Amino acid sequence: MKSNKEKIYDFIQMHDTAEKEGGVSTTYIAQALSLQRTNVSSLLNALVEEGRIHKSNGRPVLYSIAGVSRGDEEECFCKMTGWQGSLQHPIQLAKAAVLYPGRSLNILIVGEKGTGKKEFAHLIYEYCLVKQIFSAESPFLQMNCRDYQGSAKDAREKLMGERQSGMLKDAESGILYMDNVQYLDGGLLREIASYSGKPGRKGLLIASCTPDAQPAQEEFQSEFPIVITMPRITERPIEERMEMIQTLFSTEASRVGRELVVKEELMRCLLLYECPENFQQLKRDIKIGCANAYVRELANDRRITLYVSDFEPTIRQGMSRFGQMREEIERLIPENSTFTFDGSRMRVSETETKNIYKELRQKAKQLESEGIEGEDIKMLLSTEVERAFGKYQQKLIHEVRSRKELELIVDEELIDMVEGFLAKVENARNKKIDDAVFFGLCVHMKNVVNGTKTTESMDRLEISEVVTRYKQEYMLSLAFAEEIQEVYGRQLTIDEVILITMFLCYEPPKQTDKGQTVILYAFYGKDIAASIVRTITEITGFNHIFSFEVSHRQSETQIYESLKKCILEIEQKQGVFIVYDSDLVSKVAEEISEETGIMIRLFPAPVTTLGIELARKAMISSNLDAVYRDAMKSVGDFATSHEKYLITLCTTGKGGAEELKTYIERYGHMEDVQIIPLSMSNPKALQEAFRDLMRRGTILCVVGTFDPKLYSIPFCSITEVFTTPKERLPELLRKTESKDYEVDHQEVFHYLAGQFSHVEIKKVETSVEAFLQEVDQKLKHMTQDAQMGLLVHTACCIERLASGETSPENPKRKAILHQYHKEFQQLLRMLRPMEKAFHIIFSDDEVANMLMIIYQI
Amino acid sequence: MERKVLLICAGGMSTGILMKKMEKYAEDKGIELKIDAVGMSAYEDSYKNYDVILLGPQVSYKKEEIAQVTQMPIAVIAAYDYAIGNVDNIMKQVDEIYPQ
Repeated sequence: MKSNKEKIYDFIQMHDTAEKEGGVSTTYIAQALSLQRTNVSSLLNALVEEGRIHKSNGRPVLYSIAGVSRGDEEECFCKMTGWQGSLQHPIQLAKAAVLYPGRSLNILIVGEKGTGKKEFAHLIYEYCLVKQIFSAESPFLQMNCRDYQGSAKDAREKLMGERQSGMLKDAESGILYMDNVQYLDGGLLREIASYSGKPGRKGLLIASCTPDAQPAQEEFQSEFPIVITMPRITERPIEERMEMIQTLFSTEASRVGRELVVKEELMRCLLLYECPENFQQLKRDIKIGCANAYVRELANDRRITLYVSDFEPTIRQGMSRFGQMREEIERLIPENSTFTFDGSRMRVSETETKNIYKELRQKAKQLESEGIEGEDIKMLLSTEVERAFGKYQQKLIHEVRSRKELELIVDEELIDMVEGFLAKVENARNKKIDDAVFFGLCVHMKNVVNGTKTTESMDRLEISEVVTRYKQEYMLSLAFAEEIQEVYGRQLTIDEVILITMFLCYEPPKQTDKGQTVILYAFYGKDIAASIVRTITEITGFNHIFSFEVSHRQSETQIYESLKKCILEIEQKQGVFIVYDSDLVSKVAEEISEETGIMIRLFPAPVTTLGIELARKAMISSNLDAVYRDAMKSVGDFATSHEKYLITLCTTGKGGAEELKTYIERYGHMEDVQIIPLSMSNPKALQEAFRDLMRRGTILCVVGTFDPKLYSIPFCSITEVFTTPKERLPELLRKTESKDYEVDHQEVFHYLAGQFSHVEIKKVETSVEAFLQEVDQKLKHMTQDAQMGLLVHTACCIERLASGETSPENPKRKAILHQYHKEFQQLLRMLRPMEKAFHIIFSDDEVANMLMIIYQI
Repeated sequence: MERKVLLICAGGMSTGILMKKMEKYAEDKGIELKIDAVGMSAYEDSYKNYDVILLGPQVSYKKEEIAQVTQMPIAVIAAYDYAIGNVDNIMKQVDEIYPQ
């Protein structure tokens, strides 16, 4: 009776002829023959190993009779991973050799250990059958020349035999595959070459060797003209390696007859570890891992989960390469993905995780319980830092600037704890920690102990990088986290500890408090700038003014280089103010600023440029007014506009910035100001946008979550904006705009002028402004609102009193005068100049009114 | 329907001119508006006859107190609008707290 194996073979053959597409599946065979599925699959594998049947690459895996024409000739080679990729060229060469007119050309396959040379040779054999170069009875004989190392006589006998009966002769109608051909001695190689070169010979010789041992004999080279190089596993695209791994796991799954579950990190390790013996090693290592897991799970008959610890220790090193290949790997093997193999199919599932850190900690624990050492865990959880670090830095808000402010927000015990913690860190590192870190950390810890969400998702690579890079700080932070837990009963997650670590490692931008702003005159023409500088220095005694000569004969590059040199020489850490007369200078200077990082401000004074234009105009026009008009136009082009901007800034997209803009538009009363929402996700683009706006006008201030510290533009935090009462918002946003405010006052007086008829407005303006200034300096600093109110109030008082009206009675007068006796006297003195100027008298009631405004009674 | 607005400032001196301007504005636009200006000390006697209270910026700190006493819609005129008599904006504020 036939064995099951033969039954299966017959069954497949039967179905092959029935033209069942692609072959039959394990399940199909098991059902049809009423055999155990697991048995069937192991028998199938045995048949595949024997080379009698062929196994398809896709899923479900289908089996068919090997060497039988499948209609499509590609089918032969497509059994090998990479037939459309890294093996495309080798396959082309092989086909060319086989189909060479007249007679197939002998082939030398060169490849490292385990690259699949033999498998490839067998595929060439199958291809020959498909192409009917050989008949179905043609043999595929193989010989490993290494077996005959050092015994040329035996080798010779094996190949040539006595009286021409060796393998060469036997393979005359088929293929002789000589593995490790380098072990044959030179003379024998020559003989083989000349033998195969005999006319009328039909058989094909395929030799193989490693790249370092390629036979150099000329005869050999000319008889084996086709050299096919098999790529190393590391030379192949990573996708091909992935495919290999999947195929291998599928094979193992069907061999074991159980589902295999492979988690993401094992997958990644396998994809990345150094695999010097290429595919064969991968195959062997996977086999070993599966065998270990199988033994472990022998008692159960459920699916088998494979762990990194089941495998050879070398594969763990794969994770150390993760950093370099991160993107590709994550694309192929997404975070938290799980691969399930059941022999015919592979499923990929992704576990959703809400809290990546929780997951991470579990993962670390799991790895530990699997007996993986700390060092390896770190490697496995490795890299990814920079991104989060940047993200985090953006989140670091310096809300607090003094200890006093801090105490208002954070309770003292916590402040003390943070202080003690930082003292330890300072001690350990022997380096002072910036106050900003202290304040920032206090506010941060307050949020932490209150349970406010303080961190964005960081990924684990960042975490491990931080841990590796700042081990000491991390250990201290861990201890601190424990303290926090003791006192506040809140357990800190790993990400929170990491964030604390990052705080410690944060270096706030250096305050350049030393240095000097220098001024540079960059003008066209000989000595012009130098003369101006000389004159100014003589008058002012200020020595940090320099000159730069722009020659119209110089190219832009030359100007760039010489101006850069000049700026580098004169720069004294506080930037360079350039007065220029040619657009070229401004363009070049901006580039220099970008390259050198030196702050540069540009101010146009286009005397010579204008002069040149005037001269040209005057040359073609004798009409004075025409020249004048053109000149005015030129000046207009040059002059900086007085456009005012306010920038709203959002850390990520523009969404937040747009919202902020709407809010400010609504409540900020910034009608004269253009509000520009910007995103800081791209610092360079942001810087450019700033520069562009500054060229067109003035940026009043930046509103956002944190100060971009660009061009010393005043910053207003988003918290301030939203916590300030709406009616105070304009004041807050304009607090920096002191100069512009005076302009506003003028408008106020202009308006009042239209209403007043008894006093001269100019006089009112002068005396009221002086009065306000005195009040502000000597009595009390007033808010912008109060100041504006007092201004209008006082001005109106003057008008009314001058018209003969009297102030109404203030019922609280007595109480106020009593309580603010001293201030009352002071205020009276300050009012006296106005009384004199307008011949009026401010009654006590009126003074009480003013006191109410000033002291908000 | 006519809306009645009470302007309050420290002594009733400065709101006077704003009151005049608002009256003229209402007349020009054909809006029915009754406006009076009083000082801080006098509002308690008269507020009941009005619909809306507007405060001069110099007495903005009194907003809570006045709101409690009067229980009426109340707004502080933005300093700049107040100082230059920008009635357009001030009327917007009135519309916001007391829609027609």
